[in-house]
Amino acid sequence: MRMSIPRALPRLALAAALGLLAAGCAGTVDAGPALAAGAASVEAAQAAGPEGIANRQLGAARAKLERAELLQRGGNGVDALRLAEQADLDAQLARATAGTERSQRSADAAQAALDALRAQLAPRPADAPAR
Amino acid sequence: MQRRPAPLVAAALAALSLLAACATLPPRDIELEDARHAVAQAADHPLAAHALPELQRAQRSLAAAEEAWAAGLPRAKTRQRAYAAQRQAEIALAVATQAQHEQRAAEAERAAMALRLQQSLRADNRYADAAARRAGR
Repeated sequence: MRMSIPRALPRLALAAALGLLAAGCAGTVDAGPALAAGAASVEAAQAAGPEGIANRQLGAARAKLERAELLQRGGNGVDALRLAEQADLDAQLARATAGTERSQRSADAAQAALDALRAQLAPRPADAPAR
Repeated sequence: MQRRPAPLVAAALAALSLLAACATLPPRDIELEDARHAVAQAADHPLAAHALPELQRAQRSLAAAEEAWAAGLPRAKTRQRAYAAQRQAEIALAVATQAQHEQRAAEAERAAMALRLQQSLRADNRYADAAARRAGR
């Protein structure tokens, strides 16, 4: 059954409005949650006491987070979201690297203590039994 | 002189086939390749089992990146997923390496403890010998 054009107009208008709404929603990206997650990861990485490589990774994460916040404020939600997600990952890596660096220092210290003990207990020429 | 074009035509056809084959190969994606390499490196770590959740996350992200690449989705999607896969693989590698350092520290501490115990037993024996000698006089 064919509908006359005047009768179809309200339906067409509704469809067009819904289409515009969907297009509008697709174009608006809220990077807020990703920015919050990134900030939390940066804070956690900072608390891990990063040094060396971890500290540089944390610096990169912070820089990305700051750029993401600027982009979000400028209305570029898509790029803000992308950078915020990257900052989150970078900060998580900084935290993991801080743990690796700390465990390496502990292992090196334990090995140095063992070497010192071995040297201390090694028989010296003066300790050799007299023949 | 009679010309023999057959070899030339065959060579031209072969060259064209080669070109066509090259043209159908997908272009390389550096981010995806880096991510594959990072995930493989993390999975190969001798203590990868200590970083299983991190490694699985990286593998899932890599699979998502591969899917985006194969489906011809916008390149930004592949790159973002590959970035996640690479970072997660690096996190897995860091966790596995941390476990390795912790094992090394524990082994050194055990060896030091064993040495101290050995030294203490030797000292005890020396005292016992000296006491026995004094008693025998």
